[in-house]
Amino acid sequence: MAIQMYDKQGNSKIVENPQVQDHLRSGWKFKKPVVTEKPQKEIQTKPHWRQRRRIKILKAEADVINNNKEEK
Amino acid sequence: MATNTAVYSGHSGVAKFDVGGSVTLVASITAFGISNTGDAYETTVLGSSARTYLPGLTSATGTLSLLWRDDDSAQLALYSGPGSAAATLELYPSGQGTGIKLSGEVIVTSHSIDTGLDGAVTSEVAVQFTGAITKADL
Repeated sequence: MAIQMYDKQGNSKIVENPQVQDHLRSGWKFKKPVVTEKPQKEIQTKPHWRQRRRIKILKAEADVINNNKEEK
Repeated sequence: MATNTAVYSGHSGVAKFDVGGSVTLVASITAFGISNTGDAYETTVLGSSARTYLPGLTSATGTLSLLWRDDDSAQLALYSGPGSAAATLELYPSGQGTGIKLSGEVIVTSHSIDTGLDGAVTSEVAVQFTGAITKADL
């Protein structure tokens, strides 16, 4: 006799009786496992506008001291 | 727990079978039985008035009656038992809380699935113990 067995990924094969206990020890099951698929990423329905990068320009003001002035 | 001192009630009986090295409860069991026999070697000689015997080898067989379940790993292990190597069988005639546990290595010698018009699908399993049966108090 033989029986259908499944691995963790849900792959199945027919196993002869003398090999069944060895397969059970190796993690094979009689019942097909429920393989859960990862949820897909949410599909974007609205256009996504890229925000413009704003650059803040700071005006630096400082007095310029002329060191080259001739001393009297 | 101490050994039961009263008459056992059979409805609490439990059987467990080897599932890949882990002894697992057999689901939907309706009855089980175990039979121990011992050979008797005749030593009668001429002139005797009564036959005489020596005790010989012992052996044991068992039966399990089930409601067939294809979602139970222990039942499926029993189903795949014929032709397989010896596996552990544990029997608790009065349940796991009181009384005794009978355990041993068995070879499944037959497995049947029976369907009829007027009843549930049932299954019958016969086992041959290899080696001695161990009786332990719970």
